[in-house]
Amino acid sequence: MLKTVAAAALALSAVLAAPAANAAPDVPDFVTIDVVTVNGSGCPAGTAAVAAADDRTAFTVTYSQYLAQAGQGSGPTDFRKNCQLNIRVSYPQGFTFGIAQADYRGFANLQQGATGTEKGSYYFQGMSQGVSRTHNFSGPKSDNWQATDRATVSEIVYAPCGEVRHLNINTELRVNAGTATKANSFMTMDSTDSSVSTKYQFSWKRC
Amino acid sequence: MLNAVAAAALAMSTIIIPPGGAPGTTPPPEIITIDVVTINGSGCKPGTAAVAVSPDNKAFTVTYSEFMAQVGPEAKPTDFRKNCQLNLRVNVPSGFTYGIASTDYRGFAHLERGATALEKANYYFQGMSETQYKQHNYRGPLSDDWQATDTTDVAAIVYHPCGEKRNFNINTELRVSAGTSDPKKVTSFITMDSTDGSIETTYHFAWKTCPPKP
Repeated sequence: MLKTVAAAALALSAVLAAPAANAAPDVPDFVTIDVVTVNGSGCPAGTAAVAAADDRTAFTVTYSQYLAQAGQGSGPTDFRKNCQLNIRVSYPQGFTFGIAQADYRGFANLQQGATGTEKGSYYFQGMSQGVSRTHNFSGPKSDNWQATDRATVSEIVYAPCGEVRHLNINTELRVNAGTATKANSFMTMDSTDSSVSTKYQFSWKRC
Repeated sequence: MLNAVAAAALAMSTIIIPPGGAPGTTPPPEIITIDVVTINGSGCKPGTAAVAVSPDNKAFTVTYSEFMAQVGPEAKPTDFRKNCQLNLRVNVPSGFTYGIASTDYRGFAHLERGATALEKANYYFQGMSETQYKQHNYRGPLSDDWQATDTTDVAAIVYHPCGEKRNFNINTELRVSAGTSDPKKVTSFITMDSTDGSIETTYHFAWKTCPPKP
């Protein structure tokens, strides 16, 4: 019954700034981004599409099945779905980077008594350390939602200097029916008008 | 909380130490690198796992879309245990090499009160009977993400002074037990979202150039 197609658009843009003359730039003068893999219970093979910008500084991922649900009509394991992006960021030697900010948008239909959660976890390939941010929503709600993840400078996890490690961004949606067990509640990572729903900004530092 | 350290007792064959090194030697690659050869198992059937290897072949990420073990009214009797085996080609430079392999597992667990789950991995080199087991246990009530890290000493990963490629197997499994919870009424499950592996070469000595293979 919930054949809603979630056209979630995910766009990643890099922050570029021109280096000052005769000064060490605070940001690299080029950066390119490639989505290597997209996979998870919310985006199994064949349900996500990646569109890269021509200059490889941005991309968009659209999902057709990224929906978590609870309550009537849902299976017992449907309340949590995830989608993990593996991203290769190429930049000059001497720099490293970390995620400073991420914006998410989607749609939530939560009954009175139900709650929903969006969580983003960020880590570099092969590193145990990571950071995550959680945003909670509560019913009654049947509207778009938006969330922004911000990390303070001291919290930013940077890629290891001198090594090229892919960035993993694992997003998840969780829905708890709470007291609304007789109705359905769901949450998508979604943008019906295909506008940008997720935007990442990077923080740079010199190695 | 999530660290398990064990030493891999792996056979090391001859270390050749010529005085001063052979003339005209070509330096071998100084680091251990890895390639993911195959991924398969009841929890990662073809088309459900994705692999991303770092450009220097020292780290990789595997993500899963269906790696879930569960018990409950809608679960089949065999759903309580799922596995996924990674077969990795480990490229070992010639000479004596010492490395540490680290593996991070991340996922989500929803366990009812009384239910338990485990994540277990065994590590072994192709053709060697010796196996290391690392296990992490979880207990309900729990409904959150989990993360586990295994560190494996791959001391003397060298089997041959002239370097050799050996396949390394990591067989991961997820299991759920209903325990004292009632699986006819409530569902408990554990998923794996990702497996990250990396090998750090902590030191490497090479004193001899081996003849090119025919």
